[in-house]
Amino acid sequence: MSAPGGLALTSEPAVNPLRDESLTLKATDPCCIVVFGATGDLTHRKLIPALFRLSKQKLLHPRTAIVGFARRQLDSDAFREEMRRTVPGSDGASPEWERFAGSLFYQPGVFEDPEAFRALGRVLTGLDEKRGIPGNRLFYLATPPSEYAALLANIGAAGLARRASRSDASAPWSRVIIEKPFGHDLKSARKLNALVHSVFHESQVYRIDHYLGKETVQNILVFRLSNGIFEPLWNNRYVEQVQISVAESVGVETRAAYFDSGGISRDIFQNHMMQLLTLTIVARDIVRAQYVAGAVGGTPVPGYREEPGVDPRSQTETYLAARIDVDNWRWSGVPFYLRTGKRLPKRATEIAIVFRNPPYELFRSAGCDALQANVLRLRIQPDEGISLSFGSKSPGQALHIDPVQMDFYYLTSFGQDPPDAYERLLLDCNLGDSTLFARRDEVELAWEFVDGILNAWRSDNRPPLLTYPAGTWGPPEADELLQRNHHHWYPL
Amino acid sequence: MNALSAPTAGLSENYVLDAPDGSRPFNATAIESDLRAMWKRAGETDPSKAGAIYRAALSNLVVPLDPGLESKLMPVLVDVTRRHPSRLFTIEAGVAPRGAGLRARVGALCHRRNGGGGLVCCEQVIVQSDSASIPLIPSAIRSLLIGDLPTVLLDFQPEQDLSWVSELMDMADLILEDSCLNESGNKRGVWKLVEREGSGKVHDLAWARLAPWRHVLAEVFDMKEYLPALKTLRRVEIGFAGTGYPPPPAWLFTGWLATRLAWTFQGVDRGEIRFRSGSGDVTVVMRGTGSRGGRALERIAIRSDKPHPLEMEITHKGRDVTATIVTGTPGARRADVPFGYREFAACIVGELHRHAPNRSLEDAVRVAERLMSEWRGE
Ligand SMILES: NC(=O)c1ccc[n+]([C@@H]2O[C@H](COP(=O)([O-])OP(=O)(O)OC[C@H]3O[C@@H](n4cnc5c(N)ncnc54)[C@H](OP(=O)(O)O)[C@@H]3O)[C@@H](O)[C@H]2O)c1
Repeated sequence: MSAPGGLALTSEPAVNPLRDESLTLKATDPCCIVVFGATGDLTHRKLIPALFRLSKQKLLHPRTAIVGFARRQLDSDAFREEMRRTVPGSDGASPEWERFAGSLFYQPGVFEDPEAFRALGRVLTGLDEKRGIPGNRLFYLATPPSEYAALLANIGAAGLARRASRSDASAPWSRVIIEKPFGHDLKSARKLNALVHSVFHESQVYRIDHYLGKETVQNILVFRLSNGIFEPLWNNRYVEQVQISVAESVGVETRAAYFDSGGISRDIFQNHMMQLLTLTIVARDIVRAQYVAGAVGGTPVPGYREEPGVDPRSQTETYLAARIDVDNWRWSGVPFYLRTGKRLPKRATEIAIVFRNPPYELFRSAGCDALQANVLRLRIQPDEGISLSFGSKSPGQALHIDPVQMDFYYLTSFGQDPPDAYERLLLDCNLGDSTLFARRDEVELAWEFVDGILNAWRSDNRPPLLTYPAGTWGPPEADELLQRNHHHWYPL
Repeated sequence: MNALSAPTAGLSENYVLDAPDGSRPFNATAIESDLRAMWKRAGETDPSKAGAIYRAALSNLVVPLDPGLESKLMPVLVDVTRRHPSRLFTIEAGVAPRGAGLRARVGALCHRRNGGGGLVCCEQVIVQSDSASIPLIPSAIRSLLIGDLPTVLLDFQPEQDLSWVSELMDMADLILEDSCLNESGNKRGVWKLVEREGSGKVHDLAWARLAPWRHVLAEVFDMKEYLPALKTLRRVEIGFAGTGYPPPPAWLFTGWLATRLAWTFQGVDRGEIRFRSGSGDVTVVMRGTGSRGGRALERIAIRSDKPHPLEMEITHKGRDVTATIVTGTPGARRADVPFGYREFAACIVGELHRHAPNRSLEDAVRVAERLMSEWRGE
């Protein structure tokens, strides 16, 4: 029943009157999802688990087919077995897994071989017929970016990227999801975009940055635009500074070669951080540093240059702090401080919005010390939530103002963890909602900014590579960067 | 359990804590100060023992607790507050000895956060009254609602038309009913309420529990092979746990099928309900299976005629997470499919998160009401 292999075809239009709106949150279309790079790490760790969870929650159309494509010679049964072994919650023969596994298929092939794509085309047409899929396609490029060129060219050559006419909503659609990184500088990003556009229209392209699928990143928008008391404050009149921190406690793990060639400016700065801040920006001051041996969370760890796979003379930065001025009316004069690093004391991503103090410090004459600024913190991970600090008179005869905090924790308020970002993004792509995906111009703009920094570094005024012991919050120069404006980093 | 007056015990998981003085004559100001004192003491417990304590509330949850249902419902409510932190008001009307008036005490329901790291605690206010003071209950509750949070009434009183409950309904933003709770299977007042107040405000948990059945059946007909057989459906048998008069889910399910498949009602004849579809007559039969399983559905059998013959039986028991589908025609097959059984608390919380009006329920209720009156010859 669950794997309707070999079903007879009828000419009936496929509308099931029992599938009413109260049974599904959103009506997804039946489609073939093709995962290129289906034997890779991303597919195992993220994609198939996310698709399985969607299937369990009945958010995938039951006629969906998922076709894995990669070099390795496997058949569909071996692919299912491999997925069963790695996907959490799939062990044993739970009916949910059995049903999901019935929608998994595998087609071997190399990306450089046009014939493999024609064969894939035939498999997809067969699945359309067998499962009653109206020709919808979702291509997921879960491969290293070096493969994109061959992959895209052959998808195009095999006629798989049909461009649905936008005026005809009932025509079958095809969409492509591209994994980050979107290039390694502006030039390569433009080249990649041109390549993608030679096969797909921009409206078919979904550039995934899983940060955008995070509930709390979406919450930033909701928080800002749907709360009457905060919306008017979101500008330079009330905001004194903004701090964006993406701290990691891990080192480079198994990605040493990739990381060492790009450094943290490409790894995190360009994609994740720029997603949190997509604005016109002009670079000012930058601190770059690399960690040396130290201890994180009580465990001694080696320095970056001692990590396996890293060049012992590597000049790659593992920490970056910058002050950025945003060149528009709303934010002019408000410094944005960005910092990101590996082997910091803990893993935390947050945005701190620091508000200006009231112009007239009424209580100073009463012997009260300097007021502490109100700080609104949007915590993205871990402990997703929002907190606001404000001053309150502490009990007693003397006038002391102490900061107190109002906290909203996603988990405690909603009693559940926010859903995984990949689930949300895969679902949105199926529904044709590209809000949470990066657009071409956005990606290029972010690169333009990072390129500016990287180019400057190539010339003589490259900032020196400083060091910081693993397990600390970066070099003292990062603190000095803020002290010039009498600011300091807010602790994470 | 007087944990707060024994500070060494501290706040711990699932503890229901009584205020230091226990139950006392109702006084809203005193109760609020009891609550404050409770949090203050909780804040003084050694965080290294209990972890941080978070006080959380997303709604006011008002629950009249019928003494007969209390022991069954309390664990469910504890689970509901874990999934959806709320200030919980439990009301025991008429249980206090005569002359006791209206009394109240406070406590907290605490749950350890997933992955450790602290307790999430919800306040509980327990209101008890003697019979003379019952009419005062709504005003007492009103004085303690957290103003900017929605008020949800979980109405599990088997009796209808209690004026104090109606008053609670007026102050609620959302009312959760369960048409199954009345053992005669005839708590039609719930559906009247849905019709009157709209399905955005009034939800029937019996309908929520039908969702897996509707899912399974819809999925059968997602298969292109079977889809045409919906048009030639001739007979539906609905089997429910127990015996006797069919319970609300059986009526709702029939109402749902009839509206989704655009059948018109023809009449009731010897316990069979007759409809007309675009292609001919359809008969629906509802029968008890005799098993002990509350009022739940246990079996749906369908038969379609040529040119798209189909014979199929779907069965599900108790808390199983699978249902079995056996097909006779067009080919013999048997399959176990996932069945989204949910615990009662999960059902309740699912409804708390659903805000949109539910057209399918409204349609099903309308037909179900009519069928029941015809059945009884009203
Ligand atoms: N891993 C993550 O957690 C993660 C997170 C975020 C983003 N990403 C991005 O996701 C993408 C994929 O990463 P990954 O870690 O999953 O890569 P990976 O583990 O190296 O997997 C690469 C996949 O591509 C296939 N492949 C490579 N060259 C091929 C060719 N010429 N012909 C056919 N198949 C070929 C491999 O097939 P065989 O195994 O059969 O050779 C394998 O299935 C990258 O763009 C990465 O930046 C990954």
